[in-house]
Amino acid sequence: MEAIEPGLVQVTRRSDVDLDSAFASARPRLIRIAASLVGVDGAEDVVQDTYITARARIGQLRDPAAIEAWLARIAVHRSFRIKRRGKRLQELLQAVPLPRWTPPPVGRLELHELVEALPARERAVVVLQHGYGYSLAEVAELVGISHANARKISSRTRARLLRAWLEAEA
Amino acid sequence: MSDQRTDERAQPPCPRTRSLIDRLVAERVTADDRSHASTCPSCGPLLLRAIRFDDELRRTAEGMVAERMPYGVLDPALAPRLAADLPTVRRAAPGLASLFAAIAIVVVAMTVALAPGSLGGGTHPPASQQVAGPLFRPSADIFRSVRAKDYSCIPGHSLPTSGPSAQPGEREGGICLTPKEIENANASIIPIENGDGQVVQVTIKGSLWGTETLTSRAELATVMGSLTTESIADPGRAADAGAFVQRALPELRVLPAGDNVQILFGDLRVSLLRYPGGSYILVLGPASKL
Repeated sequence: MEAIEPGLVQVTRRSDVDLDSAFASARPRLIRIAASLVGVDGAEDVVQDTYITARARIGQLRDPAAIEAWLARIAVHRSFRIKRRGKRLQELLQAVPLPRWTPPPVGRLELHELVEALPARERAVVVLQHGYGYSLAEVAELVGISHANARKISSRTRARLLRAWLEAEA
Repeated sequence: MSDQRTDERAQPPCPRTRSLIDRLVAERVTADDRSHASTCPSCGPLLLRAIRFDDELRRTAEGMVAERMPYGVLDPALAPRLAADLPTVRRAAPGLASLFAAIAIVVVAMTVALAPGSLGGGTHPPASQQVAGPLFRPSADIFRSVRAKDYSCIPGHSLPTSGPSAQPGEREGGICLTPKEIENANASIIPIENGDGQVVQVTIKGSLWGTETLTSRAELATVMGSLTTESIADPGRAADAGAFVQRALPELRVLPAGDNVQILFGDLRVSLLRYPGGSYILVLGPASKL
């Protein structure tokens, strides 16, 4: 059972939150947050996922006034997990004759190209930690993993990026 | 230019380059590597590139951020509350209810003052009860203390003498700002003096900017708590009030209308308000001046 969004106490139903209008007003912001974390291509999927999750878990929202922050936190959480669905989808697409994604060619690569080419999970951690400036403990809290796991992903991704960046120069 | 680059890159690769990359990634570069890189045209630029990497990564990741997180994304309001045991009056927004609440506090405070011991073993130590003498330290003493911590101070302004916020005869004793090294936060302290130069109220403002992290909010809480302590004359009450601010500030929720908390330490009132945009205002004043 995975750790889930911020949340909160078990309530079966709440009628004092208009999720649809809150979501509609937060949506542009959520799209930009998701685009920061997983790239423009995946942002729409993340936000769609965010709505579905929020709809299912609205009863857990403890403080209706904090709904935008709650939605943003769900979006961050879903951004980190979007790869799973992508991987399943890739597996399903194995048999279909479609053009496949190929890794960027090595040589004179800019660092942003390498970060953009990272899987969603690693990219989300890099952007949260180095772009937003969250500590690893905060990153772990936001994406719902342990501190040790966040540290492992961060250091592994850093090493991977550094190697690719140096090899591009060598 | 491109030919020149082609020529440079066409140089035969150094046989040590591959192993140097391995050691750079593993952060196990030796003195011998450094010495070799200082003369090798292949390895030298690699070493410099590795040194630049963390700065480049931060710049790159910052450039990918298209939208700031809403304030409160790490807020305790999104997790189980910790503030349940605070001896406070809390409301979602300033309004009429707050006036009644404040009056109720004064009544309780007066009851405590008139019947000492009736709430024996209460929330606060004796130092928090009535104390003879001024509530606040003189402005000059406050400024001396904060300047010693590298705050910068400028003269204050007269306060309006008419209109809804009139405070005839009172003026700002000065304004002191926190030094720049506080990460993602800043604060200022403004003692308000009466015509006799006595401090009658202290306003402390705090702001968060950039990404609001738990660290930056905790730092701001520490700074505002410390400024509270510096402002109050009685050492026991100063310590109590400072500790209260430090504890209460991170627990204020993010709400569209703001959130706030008030507490009395004897005849000292401490009001702390969080604005939706991520700024805080703390007013220290006499309980009688509500």
